[in-house]
Amino acid sequence: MSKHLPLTDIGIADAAYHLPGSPIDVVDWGREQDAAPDLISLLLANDCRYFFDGPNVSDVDSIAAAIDKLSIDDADWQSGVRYLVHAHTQNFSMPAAPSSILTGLAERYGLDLKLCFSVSHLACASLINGISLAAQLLQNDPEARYALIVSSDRTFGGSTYRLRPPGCIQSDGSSAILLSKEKMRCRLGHATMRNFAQLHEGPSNPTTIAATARLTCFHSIQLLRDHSEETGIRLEDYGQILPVNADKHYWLKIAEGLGLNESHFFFDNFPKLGHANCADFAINLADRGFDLLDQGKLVLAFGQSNVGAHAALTLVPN
Amino acid sequence: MQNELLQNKPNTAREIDPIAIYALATHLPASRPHKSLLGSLIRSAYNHLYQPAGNFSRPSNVRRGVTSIASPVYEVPTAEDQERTADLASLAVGKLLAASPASKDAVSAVFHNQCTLDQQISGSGCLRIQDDHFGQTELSMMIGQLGTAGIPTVFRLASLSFKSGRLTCISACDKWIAPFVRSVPGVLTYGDASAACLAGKMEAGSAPIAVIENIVTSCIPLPGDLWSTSVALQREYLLDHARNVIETLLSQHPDLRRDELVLIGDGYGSDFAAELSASLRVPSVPNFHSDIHLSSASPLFAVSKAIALATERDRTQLSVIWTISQSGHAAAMLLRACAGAVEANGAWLARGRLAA
Repeated sequence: MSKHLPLTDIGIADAAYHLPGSPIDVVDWGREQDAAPDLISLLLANDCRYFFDGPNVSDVDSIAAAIDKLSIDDADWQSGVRYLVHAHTQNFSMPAAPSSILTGLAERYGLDLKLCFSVSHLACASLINGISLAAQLLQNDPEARYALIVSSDRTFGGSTYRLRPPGCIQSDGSSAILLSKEKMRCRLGHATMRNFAQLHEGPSNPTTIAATARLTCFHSIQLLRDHSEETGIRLEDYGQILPVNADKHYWLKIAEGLGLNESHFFFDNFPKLGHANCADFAINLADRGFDLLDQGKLVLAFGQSNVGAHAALTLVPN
Repeated sequence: MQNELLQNKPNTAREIDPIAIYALATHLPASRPHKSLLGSLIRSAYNHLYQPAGNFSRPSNVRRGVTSIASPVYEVPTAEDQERTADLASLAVGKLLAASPASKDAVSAVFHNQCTLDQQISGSGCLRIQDDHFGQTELSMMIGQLGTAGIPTVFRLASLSFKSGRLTCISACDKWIAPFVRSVPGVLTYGDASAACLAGKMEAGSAPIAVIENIVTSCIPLPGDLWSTSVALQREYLLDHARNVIETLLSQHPDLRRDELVLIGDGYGSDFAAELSASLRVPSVPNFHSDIHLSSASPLFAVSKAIALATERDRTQLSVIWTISQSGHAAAMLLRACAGAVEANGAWLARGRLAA
């Protein structure tokens, strides 16, 4: 491991996620929705198949379902949470203004908070930006024991937004990650955030869709190279890179551009779960990352977006 | 209700290092008449809210398909239909930089705050501001879910990444569109507004126009559902929460003379401000509109008002900037507004720093 690796004293005690209902097969769903068969074939060819849809669950309830799955070796951990940080990708996935997901959670869990906030408008890179802020707050506060990071995303816009061809089906989902100074399953290493703001409009018209398609791989490669330089860790030295569960065709190009083998990326959840936006971080950490970390391997979590925001976070075995 | 509230003390994580504000701009669109309690009716906006997922994103007291609830005519600052929230925010930042163009290259971070939804399903307000005005920055993000009381938290978060010689652009805006509720008679009426400031470390030889000496934030949920709580209970809750967070701030500064301070806060009406002032024994000064809540930008308008007061009195003015939201979030900031700021075209900056 590089001696240059910037490390914090903060780590992840546990991470959990919630995906509503049962997995939905896009083939059956596409037939019901009268989706173009070519479109479904294109998604299948890009390793997309199942997704989750939970229109009858609020953001607070969805997040609570993830929080309740956390396994923490401290029965009273909720009383030690001083920072609550929420992140989301889907701009519309929130209660009616001025209501707040944060007060809903504070009330439900009786949290005694010093500060709470939500990070957004960076799509799936929002979560790592939120973790970075929470880690700084926790590190600067000798009295605080835990920071709770949560996410929730519900896909709006019907099949037009649910299906993002050629390589993405968006899932509804939520996550919970408990940052801690003790009893951690892994330690937080360095985070790199880069925003290529010219893509701020997102894929909202043919011009911006084309720009996103043209530039996203390039920006991801740039960020991974910057992260490697800032940490002194070669990308080959990670046990695996955990991407967001979308756009496998991009990731194959990124792998090629960086001279990495395809197996260096964790793709298993793409067909099984779809892309649950900010929850992908906890999903891939719980399903794969913790195993690698337990084996003493470094893990790189990645947050990519379609608005030009990218973020990477090194996770270090404890 | 007060006893219940006092069981939950507002928190401040630790005493903050002073935060210097070097320039500040506000933007209020022209006032327009409304005869609905809901926000502006823009037919092309928010169609997605009427799909199943929208059930948890619309006010629960506004039935599906309702886009207007009759009200006596009232006037509030109102953005043009096609003017998006990011347009409002970018306009305020543009005013700031027009007055102080040399500051542009020093900006290394953008923090934006709003509680209302943009009328487009995708897109990023903070990255729009970055792209319009700053090119590359080290950080850009939107901080939300704090109702209209987010700006003090944004200052706290922004200060985590302050660097010597560098500035952070902090902006806020909101635009109220149906089916969201613009006016709750007896409680508040929201105006569309935006504001922005340049903030950073207090540095030797620097010339801030105001300094935030302390920030206290508080998260105490409204007891009950926002959309069905009576006006009387909401008002009592808001008053108690505001009083509680301001008292907590003042208790951390026992040497301050209350009669030398001024309270400047959200536009909940002159009665609300008077009641707060009387119970706290601190004089109150109205924000830009005493009867119109300027939404997420309100605390920055209050800072602007404090700077105007210091300039008018030609002396440093200590103020408590308070903000309280129906969301359950509240905050108070102890602000030292410096004499000697100058105002031009809606922007404040230190004398001698005005663009030629």
